[in-house]
Amino acid sequence: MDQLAKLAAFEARIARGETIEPGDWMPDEYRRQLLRMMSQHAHSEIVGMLPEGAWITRAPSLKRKLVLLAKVQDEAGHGQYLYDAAESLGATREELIDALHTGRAKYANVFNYPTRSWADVGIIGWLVDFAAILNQSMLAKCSYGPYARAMLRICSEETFHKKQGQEIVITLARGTSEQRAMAQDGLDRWWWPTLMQFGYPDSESPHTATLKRWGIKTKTNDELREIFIKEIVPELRLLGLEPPDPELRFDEATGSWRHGPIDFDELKRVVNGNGPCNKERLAARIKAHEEGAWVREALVAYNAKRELSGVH
Amino acid sequence: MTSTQWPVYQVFERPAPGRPMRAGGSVHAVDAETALQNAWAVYGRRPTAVCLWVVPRRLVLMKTREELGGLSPDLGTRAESDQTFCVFRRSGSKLVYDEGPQVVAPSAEQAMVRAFNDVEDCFACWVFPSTAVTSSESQTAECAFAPQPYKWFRDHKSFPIVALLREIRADAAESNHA
Amino acid sequence: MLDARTRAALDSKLLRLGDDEFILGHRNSELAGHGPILEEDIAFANLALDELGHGILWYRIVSMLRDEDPETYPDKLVYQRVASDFRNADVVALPHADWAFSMLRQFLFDAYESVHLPALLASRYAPIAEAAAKIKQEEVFHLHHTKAWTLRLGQGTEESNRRMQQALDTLWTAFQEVFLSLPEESLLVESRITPDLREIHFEWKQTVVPFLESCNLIVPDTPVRLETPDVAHSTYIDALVAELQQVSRIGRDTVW
Repeated sequence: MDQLAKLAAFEARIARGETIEPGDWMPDEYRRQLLRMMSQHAHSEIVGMLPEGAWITRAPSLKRKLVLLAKVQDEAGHGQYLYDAAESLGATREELIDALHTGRAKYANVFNYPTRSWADVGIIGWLVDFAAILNQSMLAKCSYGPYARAMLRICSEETFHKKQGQEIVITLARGTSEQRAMAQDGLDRWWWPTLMQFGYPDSESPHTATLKRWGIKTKTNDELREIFIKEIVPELRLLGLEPPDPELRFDEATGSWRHGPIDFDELKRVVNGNGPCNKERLAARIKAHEEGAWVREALVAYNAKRELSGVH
Repeated sequence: MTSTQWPVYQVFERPAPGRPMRAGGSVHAVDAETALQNAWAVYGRRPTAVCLWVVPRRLVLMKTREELGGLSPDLGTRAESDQTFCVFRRSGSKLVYDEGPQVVAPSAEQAMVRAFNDVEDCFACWVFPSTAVTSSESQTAECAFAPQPYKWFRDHKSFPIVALLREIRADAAESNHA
Repeated sequence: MLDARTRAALDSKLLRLGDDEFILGHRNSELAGHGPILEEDIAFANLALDELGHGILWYRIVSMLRDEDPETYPDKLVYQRVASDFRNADVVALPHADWAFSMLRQFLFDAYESVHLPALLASRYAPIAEAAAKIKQEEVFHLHHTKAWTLRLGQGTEESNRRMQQALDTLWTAFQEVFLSLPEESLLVESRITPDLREIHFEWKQTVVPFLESCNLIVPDTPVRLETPDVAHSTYIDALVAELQQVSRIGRDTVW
């Protein structure tokens, strides 16, 4: 079978709703896109542990403390599922991590912003994780088996995170005036970065059509952004919180939400390494990795000694 | 083995007592004991698994129907060198690999072919020798890989968002009327 | 029922038990996202979550003893006490030095629990026996984990052995404070509410010393007399509690 015929057969499988496994034939571009998406997703989870993890020691109640630690742990787990799924396409975890540390690999823009107050933990949990859930629910139906399976697991765990974040924000919004101000300030700083999380507008996303045809994407960036705004704005307003967008309004005529311009130049800068915290985030990951080298070497050495002495 | 690229162990889990095993993800570990501990930390920390297996990936043969092509089993007489192989299959429209009946065969490839042919719409299959399994159940009571009880911080009931929003809407409606 | 003096001794003892677990869990929670291996990051967070939970279990008993609501009072104990009122042994508040340090400290603590908890199960004070039963289930798993790691790091490479030895040299003497009886603790021992810590200490050394030696580590000499550590150590708890309460201090009875 020549390449064109193989491609046609592959696309027919996808059209039939079949799941592709690592051993199946797949176009190079499919493999490349998936590997890019999975590794970016994995990196995002790992880096995402840092902005919220910084507040575990300062969480202001026992419930919040344990919940936040469990959440950060979940994020490590999600990274773990995704690195392993990415390995099914031939990359090694070492290569993937190296790509992150040397700046070749990208990860979600949002985690390159600082968390300035306790309210940020709630805002991130609610907004950022909700945005992630929208993206992920789509991916749970993706055509590539290992990614879809990882996503099923992640989706069921992610719903907690959104609830936990939302509960924090609700509590702040109904609290003292200082707490309400803290929540509004958090929203002011995280609103636009969260909208940017959905990526460039459809008009500037060349891959979308192919990704849709290959069962990797089922909704476009703008479609997901709209779903996000539609659900979250009424709930924010119910709490007396207002997104920092004077142009935000529901257009009765079109039945959709209109919003102000998103600064996609900022997204580009942040994603390419020039956001407020990129260097700090990567430095923390590199440090953990380098300081852990002797630990990993010790485990390898111990195992080698055991093998030599015939113990198993 | 480099210091960062450790062997991969495939993880299999039993979601509840009496349910069949199914394939989970995988963990990196230097040895089987660490693999089991890691698997428990990653996959056993919610009550979604009552038992875990870890199997070195290099011992797991994974094939899709497409890859298997037209191989037919050599159904020779049973030899002394036959081994027991565990079988995990993805069939029909299911996404997950479920445990199938074990197969006795002289090689993993033979076991694979038989496993495929046993079932109608099998899309993909994994086989590995049953001796390659390290199970959480085979450990002594000392290490207690007990299923995690439901921790309150992983229970949806601890975050009553729907009730809270309802309350807030009711308050807002009341103050509108006032 | 308990007389006033025994009650007071029990209150102090429970706070000690709770604070040891909670502060240790708090220290370990700092490592989430900074572990040497992703899988271990996840595993160590489990240990931290468990220890925090154990602390809360002891705090609930303090609540009942003080006729306070066990659902809300533990928060007051954690977020409204001043640093000097925390009763933990200093060793659990020491800041993370390297992975050898935190893993070894956790191992020493898990080994202590493996000896202490069975004795607490026999307590004549039912809430203690019940709490010990809950904690024991998780501690078995902890010990399995930290023992495996101590062995691997002790025997692994020259560097890992050196770091483990350094950690042991720092931790050994400090850890003995965990076995220091509080004033009036003899009242609890006489009433069979808690065991004699000297016996626990002896049993602990019996298992831990040979094990550490089998990990190629040299166990420092144990001081003959246990003494309360010097004042310098307590500054760690001041900084820890300041951070712990940084947000909650915004408003004393604010709901978060």
